[in-house]
Amino acid sequence: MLTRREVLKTAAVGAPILLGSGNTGLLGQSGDSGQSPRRSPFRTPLRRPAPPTKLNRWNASDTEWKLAWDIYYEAAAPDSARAPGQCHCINDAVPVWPRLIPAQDAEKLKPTQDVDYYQIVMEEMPGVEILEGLSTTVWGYFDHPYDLEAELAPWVAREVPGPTIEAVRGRPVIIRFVNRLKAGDTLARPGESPDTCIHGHGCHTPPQSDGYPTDCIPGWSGYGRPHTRVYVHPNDNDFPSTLWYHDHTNHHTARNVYLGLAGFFILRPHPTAEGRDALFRQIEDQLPGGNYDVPMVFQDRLFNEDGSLNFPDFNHDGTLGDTFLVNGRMQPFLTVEPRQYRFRWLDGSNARVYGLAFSQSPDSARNALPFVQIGTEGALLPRPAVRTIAEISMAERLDVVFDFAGYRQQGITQVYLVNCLEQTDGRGPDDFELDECTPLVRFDITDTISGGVDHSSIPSILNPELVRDETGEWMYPGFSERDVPRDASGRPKERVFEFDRSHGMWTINGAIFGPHRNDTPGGVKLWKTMEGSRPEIWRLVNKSGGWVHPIHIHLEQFKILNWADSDTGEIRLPEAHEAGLKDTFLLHGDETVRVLTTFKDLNDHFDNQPGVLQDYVFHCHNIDHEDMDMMATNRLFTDDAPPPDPPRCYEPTVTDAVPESEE
Amino acid sequence: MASSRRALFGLLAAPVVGAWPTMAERRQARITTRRPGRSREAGFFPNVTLHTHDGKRVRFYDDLIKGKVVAINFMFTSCASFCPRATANLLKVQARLGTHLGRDVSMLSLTVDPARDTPEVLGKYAAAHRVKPGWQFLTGASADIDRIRQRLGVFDDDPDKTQHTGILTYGNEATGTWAAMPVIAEPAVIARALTRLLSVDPAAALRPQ
Repeated sequence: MLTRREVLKTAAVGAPILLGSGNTGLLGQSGDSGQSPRRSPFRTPLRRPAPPTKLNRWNASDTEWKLAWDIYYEAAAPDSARAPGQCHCINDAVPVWPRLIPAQDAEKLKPTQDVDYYQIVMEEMPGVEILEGLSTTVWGYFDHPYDLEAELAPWVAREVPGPTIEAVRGRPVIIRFVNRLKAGDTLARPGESPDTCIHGHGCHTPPQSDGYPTDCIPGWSGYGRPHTRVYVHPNDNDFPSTLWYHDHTNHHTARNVYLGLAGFFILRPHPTAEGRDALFRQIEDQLPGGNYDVPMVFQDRLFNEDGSLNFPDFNHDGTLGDTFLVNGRMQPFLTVEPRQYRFRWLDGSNARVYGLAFSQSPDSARNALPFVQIGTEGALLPRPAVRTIAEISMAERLDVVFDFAGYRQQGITQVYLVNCLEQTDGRGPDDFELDECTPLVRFDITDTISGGVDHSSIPSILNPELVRDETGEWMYPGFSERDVPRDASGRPKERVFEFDRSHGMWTINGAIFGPHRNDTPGGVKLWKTMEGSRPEIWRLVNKSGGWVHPIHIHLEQFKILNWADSDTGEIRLPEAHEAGLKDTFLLHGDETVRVLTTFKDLNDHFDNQPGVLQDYVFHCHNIDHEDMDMMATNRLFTDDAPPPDPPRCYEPTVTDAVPESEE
Repeated sequence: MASSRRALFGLLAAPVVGAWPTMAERRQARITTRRPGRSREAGFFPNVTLHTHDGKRVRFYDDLIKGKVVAINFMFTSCASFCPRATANLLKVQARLGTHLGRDVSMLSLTVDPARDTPEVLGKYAAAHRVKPGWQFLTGASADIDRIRQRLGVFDDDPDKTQHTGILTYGNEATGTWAAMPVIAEPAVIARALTRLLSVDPAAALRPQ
C-alpha cells in the first residue's frame, strides 16, 4: 500500500472552517459505542515536561548528594543485578547479569565525574485533569530527588508524560527508578503486583539496563522501602537524537504505557567535547533551539464517563482512543513567535498511525503547509527533506522544522497541526482523508520575535557523515553493505525474520516470545572496535495478511537498504526522508525492509565476563501485539560464541514454535 | 475493587452468525469485539447454555465464570494441526496447577466444531488425554460459542476452523482482572499468571504441595 505515501495537492477552495467537535474528531473513533466525554479543544497550553532534578549538580543539597552516592553504591555493588529470589515478573529464569555498572566503568561513573544522576519514581497519581472538569488517575514517572520515604515535592508536576531526560553524548545518565506502584492501587489489576521495567527506546544501553521484559522491578507492598533498580545509560549513541523511555513489562506493556508510563529522552551533542561533537554542535546551533525546540508526543486515549482511563480488556488487535493528547493534554494550543521552530514528534500511541500535516484549517489538509523534515529516530537526515504530510507509526520519531514567519506576514495568526490518517481498526490505518482531519495542536502566532531576528537556519547538509560519497557509501563507518560477509554464492548474508499471524497469535519466524530464548541462531557479534567489524543485514518480512507492524529493534540504529514487496519481491529504494538512521520500521501489509547496522560497544560499557548474557529484544511496536508475545530475543556475544539459554527453575518446555497447519 | 460501570449504552445484540455473515454483520462483529471491555457489567459474558464433557448442562456465566478464576481456550477434537500442541501444553499447565485446579482455578476448553464434538466425543477426548477434574471441555450452539469468542476478542472471521484462535484468555471474574496470552506460552508462565490472580504468593503456590 505504498500509494499511501503520495500526497494529494489540489487547488481546491478552502473548505469551510468547521471548528472540530473537540476530541471526538471525525477520524479514529474506536468505531463502537465506547466514547469519551466530549470536550472542546484548545483549552490548555502545550506542556513541556521539565527535566528531573540532577542530584550531583554544583549547587545540590547535601541530601541530594547523599542520594547520588546511594545510587552509585547500589549500582556498583558486585551482585547488583541479580534478580531477587522470586522474580515477580514472569518466571524464574535468572538473568546472568552480575552488575549494573560493569567493573571497568565503576570508577568512571562516580557522582563526582561528568555523569548525571537522577531518581524517578513510578507512582499512581490521581487528580490529573485531562478532560476539563474531570479527574483522571494515571501511572506516571515523577521526579523524586529525595529519600524514598518522602512525599513527592510540591513543585513536581502531577502529570504525564514523565520528566524529559536532557542528556548529552558521552555523559552517562544514571537513574534510580523506584517502583511505588502497589497491588492496592486503583489502576492495579487486583491481586497482581504491578511490576515494571523501563526501556530507553533508541538508547545504546548495556543489556542489564535496557529493560528486558522479564527483568522487572517488583511492585511495592505499601510498607517499608519500595523496590528500586538503577539504570545506566552511557549515552554513546552514534548521533544526537530524539529518544524516549517507557515501560516494557512482559504482557503488561500496553496497559502500563497507556496509563502514562512514558517520557522523552533527548540526546544532544556534548557541549564542550572536540571531535565529532564539535561538528554536531556546529550544525545543531544553526537549527532552532532552546524554547524553540519542542518535543511532542501523540497519544490517543479512551475515557469513561467519570474521566477514568478506559483500557479495553479483550482487545488484541490494538488499542485505539478517540481523544487526542499531545504531551498529556487534550488538543492543546501553543503560542509561537513568527519564526522557525523545531518539533520533535513521537507517536506514543499503542496502535495508531498518524498522518501529520500543518494546515490553516483544523479539519482539512487539502492545502497543507509544507514543513522540512530534518531527522528520524537515530540521527539527523543527510539533507533536509520537504514534506507536506508525513506518516508516522508507533514509536517512530520525526524531527521537523516549521517556519511561522511567512504565514504571519500574510496575516494568518493560527496554524494547526492535524492528523489526516483515518484509523478505525487497531490492526492498521485506513486511508488519508484530507478533508476529515483531526486537529492536534493549534499554534497561535504572535506579532514579534523576542530578540528581533530569527537567527536559525537549516543547513543544506545536516549530517555530512551520512551523505553518500562518490562510491555511494556513507563516511560514517559501520553502515556499508560492502563490509557485510558474503555467503557461498557471493550474496550478502542476511538474517530473515518473518512476521506472521497464526491462530490469532503473532509469530516471528513461527515462534512466540520465550524469555531468554535466543532467536538469532549463532548469536550476533558485538564488536569492540570498528577495525575488522562486520555489519549485519536484517530482512524484516511482513506476511501477516494485511496487518500493519512497526518493527522496533533494540540497541542499535539502522540504515534502510531497500523496501520490497513480500510477495512479488519488487524493490523500492528509500526516499529522502528515510535516508538517515532508524530504529523502528513500519511494515505495511505485505511489505519487507532490509536494514543494516553494526552491533558495537566501542567504549567498553558492556560486561564481558564469560557466561554473561547480552540479550536484547526486537518486536512489533503495536504494543498490544507486543504483549501477545510478538517479540524475539537477540543474543549478542563478544568472544567466541554466545552462552546458551539459561536454565529455568522449572524444567524447560518444548520450543514455542507454532507448527504449520495442515491443509 | 473497581467501581461498577453503568451500562450507558445498550448492549449491542450479537449478530447472528449462522450462515456466513455479510459485510455488515462482520463489521458488527468486529465492533462488538473491539468494545471497551466492560467485563464487570451484567450481561457482558453471555449466559448461554453449554454442555460439559461429562454430560452436565451449564450456563456459561452463572456456572463457569461468575466469581471464578478461569482460563479459556478454543479447540476441536478433529483438529490435527494445532490443537494437539495446545492441549499438550495445557496438560503441563494442569500438572503445575496441582491441587489448585478445580479448587481455585478452572480451565475451560470450548469447541469450535460443535456439530461433531458432542459431549460424548469430548468425554472420550478428555479421558484419552487424562484431563483432571477442574478442566472442562464444552460444547453448545454454534452461534453461542461464536458470541463468547466475540466477547473475548478472539473471534476470527475466517470460516476455516483450522485457523481458530490460539489465544488463551484468563482472568478473575470476581475482581474483573482479565488478560490473554498465547495458549502455547511456557506452562510455568501460564500457571503463574493464573495463580497470581488468586492473591496469594505465586511462587509459594507453585511449589510442590
